[in-house]
Amino acid sequence: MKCEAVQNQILMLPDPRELPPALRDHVQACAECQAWAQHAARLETVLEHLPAPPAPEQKKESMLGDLMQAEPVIHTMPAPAKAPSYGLLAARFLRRNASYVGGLAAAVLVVIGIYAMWPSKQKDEIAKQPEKHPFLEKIVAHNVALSQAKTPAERLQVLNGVADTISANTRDVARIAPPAKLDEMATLYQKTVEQGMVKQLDHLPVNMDPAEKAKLLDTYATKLNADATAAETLALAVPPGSQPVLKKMADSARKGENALREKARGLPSPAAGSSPPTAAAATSSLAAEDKIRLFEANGGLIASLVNAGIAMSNPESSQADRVKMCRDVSLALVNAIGPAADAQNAERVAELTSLFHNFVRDGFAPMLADAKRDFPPKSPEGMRVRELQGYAVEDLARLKADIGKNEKVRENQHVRDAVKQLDDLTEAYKS
Amino acid sequence: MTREPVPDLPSNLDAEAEWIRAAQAGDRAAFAQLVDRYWDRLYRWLYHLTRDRHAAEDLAQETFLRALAAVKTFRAGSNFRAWVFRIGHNNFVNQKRAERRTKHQLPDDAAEPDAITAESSAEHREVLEVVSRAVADLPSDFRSALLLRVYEGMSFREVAETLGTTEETARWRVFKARQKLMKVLPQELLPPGASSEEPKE
Repeated sequence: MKCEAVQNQILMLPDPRELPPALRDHVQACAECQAWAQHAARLETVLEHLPAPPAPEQKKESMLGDLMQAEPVIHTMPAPAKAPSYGLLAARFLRRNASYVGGLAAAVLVVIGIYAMWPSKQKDEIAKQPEKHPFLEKIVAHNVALSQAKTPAERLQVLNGVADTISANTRDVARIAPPAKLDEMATLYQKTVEQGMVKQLDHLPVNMDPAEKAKLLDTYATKLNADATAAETLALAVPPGSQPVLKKMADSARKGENALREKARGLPSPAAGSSPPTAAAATSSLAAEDKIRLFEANGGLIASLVNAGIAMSNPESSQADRVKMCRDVSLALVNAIGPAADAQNAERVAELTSLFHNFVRDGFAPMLADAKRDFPPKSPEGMRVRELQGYAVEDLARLKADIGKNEKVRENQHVRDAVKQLDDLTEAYKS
Repeated sequence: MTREPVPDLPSNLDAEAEWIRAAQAGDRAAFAQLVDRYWDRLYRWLYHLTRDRHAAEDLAQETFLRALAAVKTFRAGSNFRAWVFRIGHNNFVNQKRAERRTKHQLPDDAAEPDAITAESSAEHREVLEVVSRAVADLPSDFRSALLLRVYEGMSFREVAETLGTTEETARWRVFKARQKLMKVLPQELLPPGASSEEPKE
């Protein structure tokens, strides 16, 4: 293993002071990496002890005092507990601390008051914030991670995350989604497993530690097996029209599992893990109806992003190809923002602009900078990369123009906040 | 000085689950237990995000007020610590946005080495001061992820849950933060005495 890879892997560990066997062997034999590991370990310890000065105004004690002095609650069983008088409690707390709580806390009080009075359905809607689409956010974040992944093993890990996200979202809505929508999700899952994950297998390093490789393959094979089982079980509970879709997902998972097991043939049996992987659970608190509605709005964009991510993960792609795929991702987001601005949907513009910013800042711009550094300006790759940079600058200008042409969108505070972030990107593209 | 060792979490999840259930039923004393358990560690993290004691304390207070108002919506069985820290992080992000809008700059407590190092032993004072400044110079996304991992001992999955991102991105941010610190902190600044542990072999 190369020293640079070892050193990076040390910094990626949960705790650099605890080296796994694969890294330990190299570190023991390499003076440079040994020094690096010791440096990283010392840094971790210093960070652990980094102090913070004491809080100046003892607000904790004040809040605890107010909470403890509040009237005791009489629990009545089995009748549901009466809603606590949090508004009253907060009011008393704020009165006592009015000198420094100021306008901010007063605003919180108003929110609490409104919260206490509103019907529970409306409260639920506030808590859910339905216009944010966690599925879309996660796919963009996976694309960032794919742009940063350097090795087939790292890409396998990210693609496994993509498959997790898609399968969890599919299962969440499977009982009530139209079969056609469900099939769109299942197709994305199928592509991620068959064209993404499986494709990495032939490119795992030949000299990879056999035990490490066996463990890696077993982890993802077991995970896919869990996905297949979950889809098959759910297929028994969904409307007949949706059953073939879940079967298709289960088949893809089993195909992927078989490919991984085949690759592991002849390798030592991996040690038993602490707990078997399970199919990914949904993490979003959105109702299934909201998930379907948001997928109807964002399904095309999500498909573009997943496809670009799979293309980016292709081990045969060159660095310049990956720059192109990154530009495709950013372009897909720009193309979605224009119609949202035309429809005067300011919140959607803000959300998509923020996702665009995150992807370019953490994914596209660093990759562009690396490629410009690696390819001389006059080389064919260098010229292609610089051409893509030019397109990216144009995309950014178009995005700003699309947002700017409608006053209602332009003046929305969330949009203004999101647009302000874009200034950083102009510099990032120039560098 | 807020630097007591953070007790391992989750050390008493049964008790915590009971406090949460009681708080959801309206028991304020139970909520006070939760405030007591998480305030100091939330404040410490927020201090390193804001570099301002007053702002960190205000944010901690606002976080628990919001948590109090929303505790009934907390899903039983999920991670309360990540939930509270996520509210804190959202407050911090909102404050930064508001700050940009008003062009108001927060005072920078990081420029008060005496406050930071008053209880530090002499030989570590310089190290802590330099590392504090280097951490303060990290982009806030990297800083928040690194400190959740190191201070709170959160797994990458919990860091992701707190910051509303993926596990891979959380891992990447911690990696980038460490990488930047390794670059700016030469080995001489981290003498072996600064560490109680070498890599375990």
